[in-house]
This record gives sequence, C-alpha cells and structure tokens, in this order.
Amino acid sequence: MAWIEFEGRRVRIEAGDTVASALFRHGVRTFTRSIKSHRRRGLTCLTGDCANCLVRVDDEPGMRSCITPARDGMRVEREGGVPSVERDLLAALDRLHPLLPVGFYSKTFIRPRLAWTVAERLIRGATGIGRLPTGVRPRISQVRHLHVEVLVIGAGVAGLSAALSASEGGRSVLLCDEGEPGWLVAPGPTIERICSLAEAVQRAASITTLWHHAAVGIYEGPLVPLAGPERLVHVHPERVVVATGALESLQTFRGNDLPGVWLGRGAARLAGRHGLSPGRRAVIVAETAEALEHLGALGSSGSKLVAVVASDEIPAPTAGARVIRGGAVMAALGRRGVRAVVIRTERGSERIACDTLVLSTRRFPRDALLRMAADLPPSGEAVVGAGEVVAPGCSLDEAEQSGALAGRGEAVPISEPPAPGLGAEGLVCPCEDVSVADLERAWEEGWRSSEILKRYTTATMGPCRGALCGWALAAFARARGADALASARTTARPPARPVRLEQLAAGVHEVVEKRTGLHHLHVSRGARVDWSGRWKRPFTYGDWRDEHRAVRERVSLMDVGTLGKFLIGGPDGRELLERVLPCRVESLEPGRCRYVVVLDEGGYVMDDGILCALGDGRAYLTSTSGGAERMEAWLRGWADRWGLRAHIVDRTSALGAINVAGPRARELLSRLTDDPVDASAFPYGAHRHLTVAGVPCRAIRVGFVGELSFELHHPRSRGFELWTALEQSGADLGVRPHGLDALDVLRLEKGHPYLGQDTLPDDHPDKLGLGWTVAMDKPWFVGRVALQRMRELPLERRLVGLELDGDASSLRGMPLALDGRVVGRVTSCALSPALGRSIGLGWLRAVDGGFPQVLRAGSAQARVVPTPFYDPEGVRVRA
Amino acid sequence: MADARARYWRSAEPRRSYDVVIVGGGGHGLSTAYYLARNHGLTDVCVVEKGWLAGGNMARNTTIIRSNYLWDESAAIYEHSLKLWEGLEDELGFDLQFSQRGVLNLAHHLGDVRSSLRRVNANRLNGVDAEWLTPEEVRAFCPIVNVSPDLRYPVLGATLQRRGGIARHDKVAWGYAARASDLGVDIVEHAEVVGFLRGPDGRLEGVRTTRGDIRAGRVALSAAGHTSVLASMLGLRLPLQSHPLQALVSVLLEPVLDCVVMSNAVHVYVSQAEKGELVMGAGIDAYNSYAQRGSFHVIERQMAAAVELFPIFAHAKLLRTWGGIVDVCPDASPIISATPIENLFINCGWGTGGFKATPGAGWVFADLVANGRPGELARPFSLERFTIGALIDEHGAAAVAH
Repeated sequence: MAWIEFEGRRVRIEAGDTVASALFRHGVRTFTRSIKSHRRRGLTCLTGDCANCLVRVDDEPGMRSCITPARDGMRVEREGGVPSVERDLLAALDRLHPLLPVGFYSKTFIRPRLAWTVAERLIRGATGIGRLPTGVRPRISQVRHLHVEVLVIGAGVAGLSAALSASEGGRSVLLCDEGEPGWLVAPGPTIERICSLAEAVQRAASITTLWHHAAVGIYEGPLVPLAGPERLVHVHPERVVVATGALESLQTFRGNDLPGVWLGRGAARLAGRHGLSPGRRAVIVAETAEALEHLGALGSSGSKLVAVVASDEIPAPTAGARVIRGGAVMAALGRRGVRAVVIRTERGSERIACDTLVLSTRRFPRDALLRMAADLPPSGEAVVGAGEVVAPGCSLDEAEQSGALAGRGEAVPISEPPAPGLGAEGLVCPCEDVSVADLERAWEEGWRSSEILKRYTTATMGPCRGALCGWALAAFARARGADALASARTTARPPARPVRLEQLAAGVHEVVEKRTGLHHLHVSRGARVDWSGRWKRPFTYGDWRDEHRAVRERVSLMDVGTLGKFLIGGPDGRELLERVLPCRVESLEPGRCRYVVVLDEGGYVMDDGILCALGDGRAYLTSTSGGAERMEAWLRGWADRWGLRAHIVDRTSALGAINVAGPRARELLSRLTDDPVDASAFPYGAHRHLTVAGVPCRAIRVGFVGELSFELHHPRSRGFELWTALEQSGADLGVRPHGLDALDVLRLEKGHPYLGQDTLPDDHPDKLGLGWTVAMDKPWFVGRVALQRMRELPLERRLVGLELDGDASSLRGMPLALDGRVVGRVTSCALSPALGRSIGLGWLRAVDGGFPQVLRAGSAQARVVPTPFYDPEGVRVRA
Repeated sequence: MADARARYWRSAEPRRSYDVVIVGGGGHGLSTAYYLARNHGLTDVCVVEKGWLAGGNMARNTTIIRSNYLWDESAAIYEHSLKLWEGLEDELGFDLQFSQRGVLNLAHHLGDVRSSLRRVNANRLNGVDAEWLTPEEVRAFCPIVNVSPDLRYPVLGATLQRRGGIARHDKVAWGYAARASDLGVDIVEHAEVVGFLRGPDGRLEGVRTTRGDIRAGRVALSAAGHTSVLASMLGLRLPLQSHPLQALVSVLLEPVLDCVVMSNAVHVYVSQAEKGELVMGAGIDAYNSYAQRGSFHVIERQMAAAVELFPIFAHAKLLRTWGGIVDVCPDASPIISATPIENLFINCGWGTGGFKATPGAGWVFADLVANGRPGELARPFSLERFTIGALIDEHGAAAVAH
C-alpha cells in the first residue's frame, strides 16, 4: 500500500494515480485559491494547462498536480489562503470585487503615503502563492545537445503520425512529449489510435523518443530547449513539427471557475483513467462529437447525467439523459462548488441542480510554440503545425493525415475556428480573476487593443500564460470592432510550459579557472594564487618586497604565460597589421620588436603588446592577458572585412612564457644557453631564438619592470623543466619568483599604466602619454581619423605621474583636489622600495586650459612629476 | 482618498499640424510631452506611437530606479531624475508603486571592488547617496544573497543606494499620458512614422505616418531602439547600436526579496514586484537586431548567475521571458541633442537604463525642444561629443555590459 502525506494526513494512492487524482479520491475539491479574489479553485483541465491545481510537492511550489505522478512518501500541501486554502478569510475579498474594479490599484491614489504603506503590506501578505523552500540545494542538472533532422513536439495522433512519416527514408527524428503517448487521454477510440501508432513508432529505427520532456520555446536556429525532470536538452533540428493539440474553451458565465466546472477531456480522464466520478449529478455541454465519448466515460464512472446541453450537430446521446437543444449555460451557482446551473433556452431559463458541469466545448489550439516560431527567420518554413493545433476539432483520421503531411514536409490543411462570443458574466482569465465586466469596463475607459487590455487588466498574465484565456481576450477585442492589429493574440513568449530556474541554469558551466602550465609549481613554492581576470595567478610567494628586491638587485622569474600570443602570417599578414596597428609595421626589421598600442575606431586604446617581426615575413604579437580573446576577434574581424589573406594563429594556450628579469638575468641565461646573449648580439628591442636548458625559446628583450629582462616564450609542455632549470642554475645568484603584487609596484616605478586599472575605455594615446607609439604620418590605420580630429582639440584630461607625501600606498582611488575642487583621481600608488618615496599615477582634468601641478589627495600633497620615476633614462633596461 | 478616473487619456485622431510632434509614445516621449506642456506651456503637441501606448521598452524593462552613476554629467541628470521620481506620485496624482527599497550593486572581483569604491566616492561628491557594504553587511541587508567565498564570482562587497528602488512601469507611462492629455496633448496610437515631410528647400516639415501626414514645427524623436531607423530615413547616421535585451519574471511567490540586487559581472539584476513575481534582467545579445526577442543562451547564463547568487531561486518557476530593443552608444551614455537637421531633436541612446531616467529625460528633452538649445543638464550629452571625443563613459555604472 502506498501513501502520500497530505497536510499532515496520509492519503492512499493507487496505481496510475496523479497527485490530483489521489487528492480528489480523498475528497479534496478545493485545490487552490485564486490570486486576487481568493475564490476556490478545483480540478478543471487535467492536461496541465490551467493553474487551478497547483500544489506544493516535496517543498517545491507550483507543481501541476494533475500531471505529477503520485509516488509513495510524497509530501503535498496546498498553497495560499489565510490561514488555509480550505478556510480562507480573505475570500471576503471576493465580495468586494464590485468595489475593487479593474485598474483599482492603478487609479486609486491613496494618501497619506503611510496608509498606502499599510495597504501595500496587506496586499503583499495576501499575495504570492508559492513559498520558496529555504536551504535547497540545486539538483544537479545536465545539458544534452541533440542534432536531428526532424523534431516532433507532442505524441498525440498527429505527432506520432508525423514522426512516422518523417522517419521514412531513415531520416533522424526526435519525438518528445510533456508526458507519454496517450497519458492524458481517456479510454476510447483516440487512445486506441494512439497505441497503435505508438507501437509503430517504437519499431521505427530512426525515431528517438523523449518522454516527460516539455518544449520550453522555439528560438532562432531553430533551437528547441526541452525541459526534462533532471536535465535540459537542446535540440537542434532542421525542421520542427508542432503537434501540441488543442484545449476546450472555458465558456464565460457566472461561476465558470467554481470547483465542479470541468473541461470535457478533464472530466473524462478522471472518470476513464482513474475510475473516479467527478460528481454525482452532471450536466454536460456538448459542442463536439467527442462529447459523446465524455458522456460515456462519465456514465460508466457512476455520475448521473442530468442534462445534456447539446448543439444541433451533435447526435442525440443514447444514454437516458435529457437533451436540451439550443441552450446555453447562464450561470453555475454555489459557494464551495457547483450546486446548480442555470440554462437558458428559447423558453426561458431553467435552474438544474447538479454538482458537476462538464464543458465539452469547442477547442482552441494550444499554439504558443507555433506562434513563437511565426516570425523566426526563415519565415516559418522550418516550423509547421500538425493536427488540432492547426485544425482544432479535426477528426482522428484528419489528425493522422495532417501529421503524415507535416512529417514529410508537405503543406498541412489549416482551419481556424471562428471565435465564439463571450458571455456577459464570468471570468475570462481565472488565473488573474479578470471578468468579462472588467474587460468591458477597461474597454470603455479607452484600453482598446488586446495588448493594452492585457497590461491594464493583467488578463493572460497568470501562470497559465494565456492558455485558457488568450483566445478570449482577442475575441473580446474583435467583437468590439478592433482591427486585426488591435485584436491580435498577444505575443507568445517562452516558456510554453513551466520550467524551474535551475533547469535553465543547468547548461552553464563557467570556465572554472584558467591556469598556466606552471600553476602547481607556483603553489608548491608557496604562492598565494588568486583570480586575475579569468586566470588564477600568483600574487606573491610570501613577501612582495623581497620579490621586488630580487628583480631590482639580482634576478627573478615571473610566469607571464597568460599573455595573449598570436602568430600572424599569410600573403597579407603584414598588410593586416599595418592597417590595424597605429605604429609602423613595414619598417620593423626581422629580429626587432616594438611596443604597440591597439586602437579602436574611436582612436581609443583597446590593448597593448609587443610586436616581433619574424624572418619569414610573419609576425608574432602579444596582447594583455585579459585582452587575448578580444585581440583575436579584432584581428580576424578586420581581415574578414577587408578580405585579406591573413592567417591568425592563437598560440596563447600553446605557449608558456617566463620573464627572466634583473641585473643578473644575462648571467643566469648564459649558464643555460650556448646562444649569444650579450648586449651587442642581443640588444634591447630585439628578439632571438634561444635554446635555454634544451628548451627552444623565442626570447624577447622587453622592459616592463625596468630591468634587463628576457621574456622566454616556449612550448607550454616544456615550462616546468625550463623554470626549474632557471631556479637551480640561479640558486647562487639569489633567483626567486615574483608575483603580481611586486609587478604592480615595479611597473609603477617605470610609470607604465595598467590598461583597465589606470585607463578608461575612452583614452586616446595622447591622454596616456603614449602619443609616441602612433605614427600619424601613416596614411591610414584603425582609429586614425578619430585621433586626428581629437588631436586638434586641447587635451581635457590626462594621466600624470604623481609624487605624494608620506606613505601613500592606501591612496588608490582617492580624489585629487585643487582648492577643494575635485579635478582628478589617483589610479595607482605605492610606497616605492626602490625610490623610498610614494609615487602614483592619476587622472587630471584640465583647469582653465592647463594642468595643475600641485594637488591634494586626502591629507597628502600630490605633485605632478614626469615619469618614469625609476631609471628615467632607461639605462638598466638597455643593459 | 480615492480619485477613480473614468479614463486615463484621450486617444486622439491626429490633426494635420502641430507645433511639436514627438515620435514614440513610450515613457520618454510621454514625459517629454508632459513637461513641454507643464514647464514650457507648449500644448500644441502630438505624440505618435506605432503600436499601443508604452508597449516598447517601457513595457519591457525591469523597473529599476537609481542615480549612482560615475561621472558628474551623468550624476547630474540621473539625480535630477531621481528627485523628480521622489515627487512624481504627487505631481501626477497617481500611485506609481514607487518604492525606495534600496539598490545593491554587487562587486565580485578586485577590479569590481576598486571601481565600486571609486563610484561611491564620486557619488558622494555629487550629492548622490551611496554606501559601501562588506559581504557581511550585504547579507544583513539582503539575507538571501549567497556570500559564500566559494562561489566562482564571490560577493566581495556591494554599493548601496538606499534611495534607489522600483516603480510600476506601465503606471508611470499611463500617468504621464493622462496628465499630458489633460493639458491638451494629443496621443495617437497605432500611427507608425514611415517617412518625413521635407519642404522644397529640404527643411523638415513634419512626419508621414500610417495614419496620414502630420506637419510639425519641430520633430522630437524618442523612439529608443528604433531611433536609428527613423534617423536613417533622413540620411542621418547616429552612433547607436541596437541590440536585444531580455528580461523575465517568475510565477508569483511569497516575499523573499525586499530590495533590488544588481550584478554587473554576472549579468543579473533582480527585484520582487508587489504582486510577488521575481523580475530579472539579463545581458544583451551581442548581435544587432530589431526583433523583440533574444537568444536562449543569454537566459541560461543569467539563470546560472541568479541561482548561484540566490540559491533559494532554484525551484522558482519561470513564468515569462521577453525582449526589447536597446540603443547603445559607444560610451553607454545617452544622446539628448539637436541635430544637423534643423527642427529635428533626438533623445536616444539610453541603452539598458532608460526607465530610471523617464522623468529626467523628459524634463531635459522638453527644455531642449522648447528652447532649441540645450540646458546645463543636456549639454554634455550632445551629438558633438562623438566628434570631439569628450565621451561620458558609464560602462561601469550601466548595469549591463555593452
């Protein structure tokens, strides 16, 4: 015997039970309360379309109980209501409904403000149906990508048939359904047809099926995400067949939302599949041929059929029920549920006592997915509908044929039913408690299109996403003479079916961290490793001052493998660089390198790096660590735009790089290489191939830290042996590694700005004091036009070197003030170990056409001084 | 206490001629119309809207209001706007559900922390309220934020603007429409501008709409993502890129979040509306588009960030996603400017942050249109800045990376 726990009681479940059917058998009739008026709501559609049966299952709010299979040990609670769904004191709000007309909150201006604050609390306390569980752990979800030729959504008659015909010739087909074939269908001819088609589908080798996977939406591509119980599936089909069927229309009459008012298929399913009678005395509205099946199912479940309100085309049912032709439901009466219905006939209106009203009414397409796809390029060809979703009310044969055509990619007959009229009373949108009268009132007030009616009345904005009421809102506007634009269905938006936020999050796995090949070596040397952009890098190995001293006085190593590294070749490779870079590329001789800035079209500095001319006409270019991906895209984008035959090879992760820096760097290097490294053979501004400790390296003489240094770019896999050889060989020289903390001070002493830290996205080179990197005598380069224009204007701000009083290392970010007026800001500063005083970089605005020289940064005086601060002549770097 | 009105605004038939035609019946267009009438006595004004009233970005934003921008020029205009917000319900006589519940901007890495602190300083210098919160203070202010240091993007702190908050977007537009209409402004829906009327000498003389030609002394474009389309009809190229920007809401939930939380680094910003739905914004799609929908992967990334920062959201259900078209300038600041075409004025480029500026932008744009020359607040936002390079870079303060 299996049980679920329902609000502290044990409720028995039987095979095939859903949560809804188990609760219904237990006697539950009110499943939830409506959002605004706190009206009772009970089972209605049993197809997962409406929001009347949402309950909390195992702490997860908003579960559709009618399509949630009941499992032993489940905990189920109803949500909303004060203090409970069954006894909701706020149901008094329902009687206030005439006093709280549509738009009440919009138009009512409650003063004093305090009163509104109180009202706001009350309203907020009363709303919100779902209570989020605390302390949940996101379930581990995964994402799969499936590429198929045809995706069929919906495993009804049309969908199964579409899958079969689509698979002809061995085409790969994926068939998905929110449930399983036939699981929402009452016993009868439909389910027989479904079973036989499903068997054929099972035998077809090229059809894959995914049950319990609901389509979230249709995106460009097409891309159709499917939400399954434990995973998200991205389906990338060539074609999509949407066979999501149709839904009976909830007619509008007073009391149309009372528990006991059923859509025909829902009542038939409860009776036929769960063996439960929806009520003792039933009145059925029969507008479709299918109504006869519903009648049969109800009869066999033990409901007494009191009356059949049948339209003319429905043959007289055989059961002994009374048939009322040409009648219409005027009202369903009752408080806790239906007690009677009022039927209007030609002879007047008649009250019939009953506890169940079954609406086997005209069906409207469940077409949210189709409408999402309607304006996708290429216009709708890749996505077609089949079966009831394009021809509501079609016969089984028609549905099967429609599916077969759609599956083959042939045209499908479409028949759109004319909208019925709305009644004068009752709810149009049960989710949001919007009545016909509300719509009429809003219309009179001037809200005269379906879209703006939606926003004003909130009709269709509830949890059923307009499934029940979308057609009615449009029909309402059309009936009042709105043109096609103003009476269109409101836009269908994903998701088509509810999906948990964590399911959407499933596919995203951030790059955990980027590491260089030397990462573990750093860690083993005691490095404090932290984020630097998307990389994890060593900040210090203990004491940055020691590291700083090693660079300035001895020799030190730094892992700079994070730098962007690109090889640029091809017949037009140099031409590409000449056009993209603002410096002279042609005149750079093989074996030489040059500091370059990269400008965008606005003349602003995007990035900087080192350009090395190679002997074979190719070039090797580095970029900042954070700018590598953008640099590659930038170069490729321009090559593509100009149609240049240039090859850009991203070597960033293939190559490692170690900077060997310090006055004794040459001495260390010469111990490990037979290649000449003396100043005449390998001067500053050159690059050479060196074999260092047996590792082939491209060595570049650059000077970011302001000392003699060799940047050794090497195959990443050889980094470990290179680093350890340098360490061992330099032990007597006092070699040690330095990290980003030391680097920050070292480069500051040389006055080098950090792009991003000291710069802004709209800095042109002149503002940074980097005007010398730009060859304006070149006829054209990216950004030249803008730069030319800006150079004709006086500089309105610039980056300056600062000397500050005392220990200014904590002054980063401090405003720079002139006579109490803020005219700039410190972007970097430090107490320089090499100089024994505080230095910094900062922004300064022009004041009266000039740049002030003496400022205040907090309590310290800041004087503008030229950079570099350290070794201004660059003797050490050229050593 | 109740002022229940029979009707908000008059939906007008367009007349043949007006002093001013405003193209775009969204928040900015309507507030411009209102302030033209209120501040400048210009009531011979028509607002033409191609769809339904306020159905563009005004209906699609995440309703966040704040003024904690970096630069003096931005602080001035956004703070002007926030001050107008603070009196707007009384000004318009409507409840706008304006709620100053505080806006947190989270910092996730060292660079974030530095720029956030800098922004706090800059804000205070400009008289904009701003505070820096440590992770513990963040948790005290907003208990559901995950401040665990183990996250990929740990919360290292946050800036807080207590005067920031939210308002009900539709009501703001309707309120402006109502009061502008009261003052005599004509509001014409479903009238799409398909061209412009030029005189024999090339002078701009009005607009051509799907509901007929309308002559105008001055034309004010206020069409957000479609401004570039309109300007191109006049041969005017603007430094704007139009991108889709998506947002979404959850189903109704009991209150869990009583402030606004934004995170630039991971691209999520969220608040909980009065009714109980979580309102969240995503990042922009990288490609240019005028279609009001975006890509699924953007939503996936946004949800990944949201669920990591707010584990309690994991089991919330998504109700609806949608997209709008934002017009983004190279410096993430707007354009409020006269143009090389006489009698044509533009208010655009608000990118991802136009809602909060609704009152201020309308006020300043009305001033420009009425006087024909920019006032103090508008001057820095002229088109000229793209010629001289004096950009107002607000990429850091604009919550969505451009």
